Amino acid sequence: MAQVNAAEAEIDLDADLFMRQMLRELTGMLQDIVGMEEAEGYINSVGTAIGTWIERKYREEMGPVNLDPAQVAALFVDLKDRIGGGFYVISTDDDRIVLGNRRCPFGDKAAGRDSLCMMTSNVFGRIAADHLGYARVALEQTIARGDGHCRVVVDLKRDGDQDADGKEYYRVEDAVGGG
Amino acid sequence: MATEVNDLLDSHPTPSLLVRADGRVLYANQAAEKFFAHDEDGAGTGRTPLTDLTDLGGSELAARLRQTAGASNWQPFAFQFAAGPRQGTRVMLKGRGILRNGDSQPNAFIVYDDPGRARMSAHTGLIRDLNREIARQRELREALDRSLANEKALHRELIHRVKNNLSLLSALIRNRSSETESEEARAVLKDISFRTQSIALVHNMLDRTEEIEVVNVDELIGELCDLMQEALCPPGIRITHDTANLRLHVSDATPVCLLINELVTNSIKHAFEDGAEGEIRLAFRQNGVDKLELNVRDNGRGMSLPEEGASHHGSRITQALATQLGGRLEHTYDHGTVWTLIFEPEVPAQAAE
Repeated sequence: MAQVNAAEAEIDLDADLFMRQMLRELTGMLQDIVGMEEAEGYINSVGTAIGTWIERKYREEMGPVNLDPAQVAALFVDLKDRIGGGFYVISTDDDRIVLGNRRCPFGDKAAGRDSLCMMTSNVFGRIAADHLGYARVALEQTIARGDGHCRVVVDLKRDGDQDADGKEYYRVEDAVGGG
Repeated sequence: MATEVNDLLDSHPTPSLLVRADGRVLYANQAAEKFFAHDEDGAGTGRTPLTDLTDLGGSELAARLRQTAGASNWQPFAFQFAAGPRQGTRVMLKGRGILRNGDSQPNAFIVYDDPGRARMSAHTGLIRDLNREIARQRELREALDRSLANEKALHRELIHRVKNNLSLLSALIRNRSSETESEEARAVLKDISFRTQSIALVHNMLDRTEEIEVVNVDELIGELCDLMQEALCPPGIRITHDTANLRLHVSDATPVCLLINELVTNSIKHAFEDGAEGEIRLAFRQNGVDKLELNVRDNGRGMSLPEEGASHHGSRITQALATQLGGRLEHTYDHGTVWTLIFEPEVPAQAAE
């Protein structure tokens, strides 16, 4: 058998692929062991933390002023573009942001990992709620579920419809009140 | 309505809290007051700020509560009791944000995620699903039973009608036979009528016993022998049978009946001198494990030479019936002619009860 130098072997493996594969295995294990609902709970928690972290980074560069819906939509597209996604704005107004996506940041590793989509829901929801006060994010179509593309609808006005699809996100002020 | 919901939540066994992002407890149900209380008798107010109860630092707890209050998604988090009777105990909680109408800020609704309760809930869910599946299978089984009973009833009706039609056909042939003046035509019509009666015999038996597919071969051959004795045999010739008590599928029973009819008819016609006495003996029994054997034996003068016309035609029929049964028909001479058919039934024969 011919001796092949490991460093010269043509293997489809790099840091990005390694991380994506690792995430796929982790989420797969979570879904299998604790179930989809519980797995989403963990992803929600991570997604919210990531959303807060990304939102802080943008604020550090763009200033403390809250963005309007069109700017928030542009921020979503930019941040997804930076991590390898292919999002684009379908429409935006004061009530709603609608985004499409042709390329998942997790690539083919997202297939069958619905819980990974909660990352997008949480990051978008967290950022939109912090800038605009409220967001309800509905993942109407997703690559992970086999739709071939994503369609994400972010409602910005709270209509109190408890049966509406999507998860709600609220702005939490530093000086807490309520109750 | 709000009062009813409050009462329901208050009496719910899951410890539940409504907490502000700064850790101040706005509401605790009875289970939570007991679970989070400082004093051992469970009489505490449960309103001690979470910051005083947990091992998490104030800023870390605040960050967790902000995170929880900020979304309607359920999120897990854990802490260790820093005080009270549960000091040192680690608990798993889950919480979500709730923004009540009129409030400017969301609060965190937190419940104790009792793993035992979750397992119990999972088991309850499984049992519920299982019961639902059992009920579904039972309904399916009942529907199948009804469908099967319906099909059997239709099949019996079909057998009944076939039996009647065969009887009608046989009567028509007999009637036509009595009207004809030609001896040859009468003989041919008589043969056809008797063959029709042989087939009808199987359907009569199915109809009488309310069976669909199988007949008792001992009864069948017995009835066929009686029929032939009465209708075909001249005085002095006797038909006897020795038949194993087996059940035979109708797909085999019909050609067996026709074959017996042909062989016995042939013996009656050719084995004996006019007015001579004689016997035709039938035997039907198991041959080995898988096969059945039919014998038709007479004590006549042995195989007659094939006559033109009828006997040659009869020979073709007997061979065709043997082929239909997938068996081999052979004859020998042993103080008369002995016909032997050995065949493997389409459906294995069963011993009759």
